[in-house]
Amino acid sequence: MNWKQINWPRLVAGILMFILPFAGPWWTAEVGEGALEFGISPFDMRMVIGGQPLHSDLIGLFLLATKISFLVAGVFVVLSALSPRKWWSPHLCGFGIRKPLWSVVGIVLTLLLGAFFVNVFLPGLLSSMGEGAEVQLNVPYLAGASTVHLSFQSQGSTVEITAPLEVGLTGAFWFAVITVGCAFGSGIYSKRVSR
Amino acid sequence: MKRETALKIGLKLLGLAFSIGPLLIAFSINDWDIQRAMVNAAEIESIENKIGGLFEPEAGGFEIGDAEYDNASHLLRLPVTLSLPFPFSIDLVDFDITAQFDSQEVTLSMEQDSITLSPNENVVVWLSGQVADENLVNAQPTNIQGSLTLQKYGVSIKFTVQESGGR
Repeated sequence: MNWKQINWPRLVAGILMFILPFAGPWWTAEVGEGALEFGISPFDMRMVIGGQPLHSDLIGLFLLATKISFLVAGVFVVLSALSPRKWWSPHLCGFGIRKPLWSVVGIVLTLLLGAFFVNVFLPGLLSSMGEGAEVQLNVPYLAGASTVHLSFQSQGSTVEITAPLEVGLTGAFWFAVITVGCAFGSGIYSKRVSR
Repeated sequence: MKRETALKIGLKLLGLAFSIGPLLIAFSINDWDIQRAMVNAAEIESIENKIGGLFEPEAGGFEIGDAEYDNASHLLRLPVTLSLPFPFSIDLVDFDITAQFDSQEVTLSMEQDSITLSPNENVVVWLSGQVADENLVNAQPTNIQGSLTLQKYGVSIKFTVQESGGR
């Protein structure tokens, strides 16, 4: 093996891609103190309502496939980093190197669109479900804290539900951003070496 | 050139398998039932059992007992029997009523800071407050307005009754 030929940033990106699927959720949300807990990453989705976890075969298998696909992509990126001049190297690299970037972009877009939907459309939908219902939701975009407020009025009585809401990006998300950085760096490194 | 094409096709098929494979497996293990593949019915039922009764306005209520009035301290105490329909324990953190006793308006508050209510249990909560007028002939409240606040998992549920009568 020629050590000088190794694309080091790509090798690091490939190794980080092995760790990333097991790093845990990238974004978490909690309503109240464990009333609703939600954690999401391209490899995991955790939803717990009042201590009761919820599972879905479909989502679970999709996420498992993403996990396996990421690990396979990691192997390809490592092989391509170790032998960048082999004929198969660009193909294997192409299969895997953009996965961390698309994962980060995908999660960020999902969270932004999700928060936009919850803040703009959901209160109207919920309020129209019953007469006297009023819903105030102010979900922070990506990270922050706020309060959820729902109220229902009927026959001279009012029910008001108030809960604190906290959402935030976890260390695993920033780990994914570092992986994306290494993947970008591998392209620059590759161009410099080939000059 | 041929091997490169084969590798390209192979990688495309691999990506496709990772996309379509989970769909096919999830539906096939659930007898091609979309709903069963999407959500676990037993888990949903468990949640429904936990929060059942929470949004049923007719369920539960309170009954006001006979008030006790101490002429010496001007302290008015009122027992209220709460019946909550929830199948889970919950904390009562605040309970206030404002009512007319004779011609004066008195606000009564919960004597304890917090009470844990057990599932489907009737609990007597004592409310008390000071009366300005020394002589209270009729110690039975009229024109009752009140609110009670329950708390579970950090979520506050406040019930407010505008008119007299029990909820």
